[in-house]
Amino acid sequence: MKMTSREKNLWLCVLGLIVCFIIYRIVGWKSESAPMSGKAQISLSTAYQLLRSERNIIARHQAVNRQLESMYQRFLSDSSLETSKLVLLERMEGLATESRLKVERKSLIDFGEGIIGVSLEGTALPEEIFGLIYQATMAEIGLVVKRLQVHRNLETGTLKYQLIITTKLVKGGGSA
Amino acid sequence: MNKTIVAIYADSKSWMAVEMRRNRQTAEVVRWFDELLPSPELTAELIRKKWREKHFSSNKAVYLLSPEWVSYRLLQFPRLPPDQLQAALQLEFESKNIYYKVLEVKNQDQGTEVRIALIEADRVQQYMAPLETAGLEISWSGWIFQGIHEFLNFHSEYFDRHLPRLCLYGNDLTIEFQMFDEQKLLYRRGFGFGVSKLKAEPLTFTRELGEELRLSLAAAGNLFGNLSDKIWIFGRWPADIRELEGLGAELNFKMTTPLRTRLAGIRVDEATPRLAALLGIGLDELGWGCHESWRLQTTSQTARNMRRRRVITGVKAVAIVTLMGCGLSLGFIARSLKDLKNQRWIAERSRQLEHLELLNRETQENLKRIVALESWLERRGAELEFLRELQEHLPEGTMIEDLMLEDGYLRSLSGQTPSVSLLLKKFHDVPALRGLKLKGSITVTPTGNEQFQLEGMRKIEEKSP
Repeated sequence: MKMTSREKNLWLCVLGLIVCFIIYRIVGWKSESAPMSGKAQISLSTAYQLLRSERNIIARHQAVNRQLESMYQRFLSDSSLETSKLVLLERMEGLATESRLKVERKSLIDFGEGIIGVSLEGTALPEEIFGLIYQATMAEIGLVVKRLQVHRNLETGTLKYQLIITTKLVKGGGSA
Repeated sequence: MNKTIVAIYADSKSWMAVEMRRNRQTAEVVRWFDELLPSPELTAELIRKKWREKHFSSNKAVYLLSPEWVSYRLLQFPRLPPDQLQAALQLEFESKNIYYKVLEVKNQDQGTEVRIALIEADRVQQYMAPLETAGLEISWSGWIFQGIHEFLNFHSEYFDRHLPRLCLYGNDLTIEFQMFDEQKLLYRRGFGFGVSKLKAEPLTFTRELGEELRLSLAAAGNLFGNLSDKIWIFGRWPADIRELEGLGAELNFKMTTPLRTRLAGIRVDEATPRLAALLGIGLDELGWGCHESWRLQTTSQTARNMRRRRVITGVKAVAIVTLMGCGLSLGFIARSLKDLKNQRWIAERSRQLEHLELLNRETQENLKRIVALESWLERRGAELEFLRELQEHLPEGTMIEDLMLEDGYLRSLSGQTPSVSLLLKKFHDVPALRGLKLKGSITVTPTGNEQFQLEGMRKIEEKSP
């Protein structure tokens, strides 16, 4: 069917409107995933996702909490700094006794940011020092060697040492 | 609703009209009449009366031009491009108030031959006036040859398919010989007298008709070669046309009068030859024509058709824009309702959703804490491992005098060894000890050992590349 130029222009306008409508719908779909106005700042798709995975979210939350609780058992509590320092000191004394390390001087150090340590100094044999480090590594609470300095006395053949062992204080720690 | 049209013809003696309607497969004749005019001229009152009497349902019509008003000319022009040729024709005729239609353009070596059909504008106005006064809306006017051509094309499978088709049209005032193929009027010749001469001078009529027919057939045969053996008879001939049949026999042509059509509806039978041209232009208007260029429109008809087309286009545009607007509005409304529904749905579950989001956040934070604590615990044992490697790879006779490890880094290592170079070479082979650098100079002790001091910022937890 022959069309006049006017009719062709008309059909072009119609096609243009259809294309605009399709673009509008596509933009509409994308904006559905954006947060909607009003009280709830959650988008519809996020809401569906959250509700669909409600059980998973709760189970995961519980599992992570349990794991965190068990991790916390390996650290001292930050609720009372002095108590935790004493506990650490006791543990270190116990470890020194077990490894038969002679301790001539010991002190408590607060490094800040929830980290406390015990400094042990003295004269000992290498196996005694290594023994203590090994015991500290295998201890229940999380002990980390911050500093190890040894100096051999050439005349006497003994080792003077300084060993600083630290641990973290955590909220809800259980080893106090 | 099917399209309906009235085709109407009037000359100085008679008039006829046929109402046709298009249905799905074909056209049908709804009503028709063919009568003598009671007065020399057609009047609006007569038209209205006949419309009421015959119950014509449509006022939209096409008009068949009486051949008595039409003349044909063959013009010669120099070779011109089509647009210049058109301009030349316009210049020739519009100034003389003549409507024309180009039937054929033949380019030859010497120039261009143009065959045209002409009618005076005043004559057109004269027949148009009573029709329009009577309330009829004439879309366009058609020619006799156009009507016959469209009629024969419509019936090409019904009558016979042999081409070209030879026709003899006659009324009281004129007789024409025409030859068509499916697309064109190939040849046309007017005889200069009409069928009325048969009553007045029968012998002269027969003789002159025979001569003219012979000449026409010879000219047509020269131009186009093989001719059909059948001549179709159209127009208003006397019922008994033995003269024609005799002529046909003489010329070895069969004079054939169509007495039926393939049109549905009211049968026209014996009136077919008289109505054929009228039926032809009706079929053209209903969509079976192929020569829109042959239609004659006056200036006012052209303007009216343009206006109607603009109005239809405008109405279509308004309808489409309205529909699109409604669609878009409904889309917006639907979207708003959907948004509202979604907002309500989310609001109903807001506490639950907030709780789940809180759980998610807490889980993420706790995971970060777990990672931090695990990385703390992973630092354990690194010093032991380092010291073990050191002990394993010290050369024989080496004694470590000073060692400092701090925050996972080896700060300094000093002692005595038989050969510092051997010591460093051995350390180089061990990834954990590689990268220790000599600090200061090597001194030799009284015992013959070499005193060394090494330093390195190597993290004792670093893995070898």
